[in-house]
Amino acid sequence: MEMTRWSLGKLKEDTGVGTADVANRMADFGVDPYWMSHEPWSVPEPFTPEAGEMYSKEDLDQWIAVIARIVDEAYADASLVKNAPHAQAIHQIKAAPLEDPNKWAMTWRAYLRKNGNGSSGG
Amino acid sequence: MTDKNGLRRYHAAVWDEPLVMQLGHPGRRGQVFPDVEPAVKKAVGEARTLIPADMARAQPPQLPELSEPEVQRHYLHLSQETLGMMGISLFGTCTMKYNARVSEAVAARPELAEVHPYQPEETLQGILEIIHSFDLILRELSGMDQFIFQAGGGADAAYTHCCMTRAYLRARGQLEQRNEIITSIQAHPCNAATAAAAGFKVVTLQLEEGGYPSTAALKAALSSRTAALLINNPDDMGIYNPDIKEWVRLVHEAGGLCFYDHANFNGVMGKLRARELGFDACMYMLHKTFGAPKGGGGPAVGAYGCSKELAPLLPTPVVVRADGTYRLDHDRPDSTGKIREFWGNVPQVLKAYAWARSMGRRASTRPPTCPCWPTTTWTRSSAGSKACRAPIRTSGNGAWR
Repeated sequence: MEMTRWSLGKLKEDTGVGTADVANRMADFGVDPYWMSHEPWSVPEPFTPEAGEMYSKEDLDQWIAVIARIVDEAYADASLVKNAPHAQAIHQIKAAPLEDPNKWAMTWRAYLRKNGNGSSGG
Repeated sequence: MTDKNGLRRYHAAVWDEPLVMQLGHPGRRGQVFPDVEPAVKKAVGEARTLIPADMARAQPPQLPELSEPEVQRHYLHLSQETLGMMGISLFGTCTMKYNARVSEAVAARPELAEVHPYQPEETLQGILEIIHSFDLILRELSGMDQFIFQAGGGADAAYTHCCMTRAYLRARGQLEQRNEIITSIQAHPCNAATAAAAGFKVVTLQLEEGGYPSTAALKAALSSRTAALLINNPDDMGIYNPDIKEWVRLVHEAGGLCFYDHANFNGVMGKLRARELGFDACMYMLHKTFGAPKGGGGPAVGAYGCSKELAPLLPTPVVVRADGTYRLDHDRPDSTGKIREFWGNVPQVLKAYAWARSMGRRASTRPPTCPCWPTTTWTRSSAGSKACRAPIRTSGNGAWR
């Protein structure tokens, strides 16, 4: 399949869990979050699975099992999915500091200026 | 280690990893170099005296001082915290995942890897021949008359076209009048974005019943203000516009240029040629269709090709062949100017050329999303399987030898 959009519109209607939530939860299973779609979305809650030639059938079965599990979770406990990831290096990425010139720093010198010399990072 | 559904247990590594600037200790070293031999020192003097005073730093750089294992461990930890990206990733056709080792081996050869664009042209003949030969292959696939590889990716190639359009209109005294670029809501967003970045107003056509904008909508959008049409086909949802030839005709009739964004070329490679459909220019991403790695070793390459009518406007330098030698043509007074430095990411071009040559003409026209591709594949592309029945389109310019 090439550039074929699938939709989780029904899941969103039924549970409130959308495609971005599912993508976040996928990372908890060691599977890369899928690519959703370019903007604007022309189908509701889209995702675009494209299996190139490098993955085996077992890999793809594993990927499908992860999606099936997350859909089950959404119906049983939507907050589990909406608050994902839980098993990752960090929790959900907060985008606001990335848009704030007082926070981000492209150089060490800028980092020290914005955070102070004694900062422990983070 | 699997649950009842067969899912494996997983948890990402979590490190409270400081920034590299906060690691290490004064005096710690990764490498301890031997002292300069007395005879060498006597002959050339102190190294610092060899650097002109106005070029020397006033203070040494404030770098962290670490041992080699500390550096390796630090970056290993960071790599383990990159939110996976090592698992099953079904991000297929947007980048060709099979990056052949032979291409890496070719690009790493010192004859190619250690040349510099400031070398005299006569010492660059080999690499210029490869660039020219790959240009010929892309001409064969597109019907265009000249390709350049300067753009750092597909969006950059779309931007190249917008700059070319400006140069084209300026030369005709129509830059003020023709200030609109038409695209579709299902063209890649870079088409609208780069048109706006180049100073054009963007007219975005909406989808209609067939899943693509109607020809009537295009007609309504065309006017004496039309500068160009930027379009994908198949589009961002894999849907073909069957009237594309008529679209190109209508845009030309209105006085605009037509640019074919070949983001989704794999299904139609060898089956249609942009120039035969009437397009003035097109672009290929070498990582999507020609086996070059995405984001490997620098920026990507958006290979931009155009008709001979537009070729004088191309960014410089253009690799040309004359009298059996290759040269970099900088003397193009109508050029729109540079898009990036030098000639683009040349190792990507080398890898794409190696891929194309190792596939050969027939195989290259049966891309990996197609069941006829000559390696193990079980994925089926509706576009590919249908297209395979069509004859391979070729002009026979000798590119495949």
